[in-house]
Amino acid sequence: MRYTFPVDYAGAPCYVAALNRTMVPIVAGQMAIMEQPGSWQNADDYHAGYNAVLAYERCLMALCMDDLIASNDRLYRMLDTAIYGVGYTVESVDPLIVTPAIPPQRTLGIYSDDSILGRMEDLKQLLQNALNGTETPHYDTVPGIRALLQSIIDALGAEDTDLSDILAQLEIVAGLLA
Amino acid sequence: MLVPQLPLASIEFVDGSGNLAHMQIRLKSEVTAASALDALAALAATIAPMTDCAITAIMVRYYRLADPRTPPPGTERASTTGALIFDCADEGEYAILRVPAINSDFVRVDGAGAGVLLDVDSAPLAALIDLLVDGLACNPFASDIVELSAAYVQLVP
Repeated sequence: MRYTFPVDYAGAPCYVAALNRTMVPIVAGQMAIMEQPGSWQNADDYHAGYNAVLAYERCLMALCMDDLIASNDRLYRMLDTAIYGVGYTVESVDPLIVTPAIPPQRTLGIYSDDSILGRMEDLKQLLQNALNGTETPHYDTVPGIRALLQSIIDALGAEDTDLSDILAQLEIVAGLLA
Repeated sequence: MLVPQLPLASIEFVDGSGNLAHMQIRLKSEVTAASALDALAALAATIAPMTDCAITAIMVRYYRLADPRTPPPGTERASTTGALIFDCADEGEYAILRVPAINSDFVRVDGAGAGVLLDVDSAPLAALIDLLVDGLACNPFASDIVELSAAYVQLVP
């Protein structure tokens, strides 16, 4: 049987079909006959069909899967950098070599203060320090808002309150919230 | 040792029932391919009025024969091929070369492609690829071979 090359080939979507590795040589080998002029209706069909068949054979073990894996790796590195702050360096473009290698497991940690986790940790420390006066690696302003408000309440309850002291305390609170 | 042979010129005929026939003649060793084809075309034109067949092709074969023949060095079947698929110079153009009875020494034994992918870093395969890339080879549509894009075992029928 001679085949006519599909006229809508260029605009048609591709399907990814799972194929057991051991079947690849057999399935790909069966395509060899489709590389022959006698499989196609005419010279144009042969030209288009030959290249379409080879593009398929090429994808069976090469670029398609490599592209998917490379894309997956890029996605991992982007998330690893954004979330954890792990930096990657492109050592070579062709072939692509990026260091460090992607580990089997990511250890939870903050590798850069500019990462999402780093900024969240910074916010947490800021709140702990500002609200409670807790000294943290990033912030050591004491006392915190709670303690200052409590001292204002205590001062307002006392009979010999000096308003200038209260105003000074409120200014500190406002500064912490700025 | 590969011994040069005289070029073999051939004219292909087909009769009204679809049967093929060939007429063959040897050419002098110094005849170039272009002049051989021109001479064969003239021969075919001379013969055409004498036959009820249609002439479908003319061809000239230049070749060398192994003499003496040596036994195959291994036991792999010819249908187990090492397929090298290449990108060509023109967009969407590809080419393929299959090495018959590819020796298992050139097949990867580890990783995701174990048993299927060829080890293109091995010196003999790398040398073969170098000979084809940017060399004289092209695909059936005259697009030059420029880059290897896949290399794996194919079992052809």
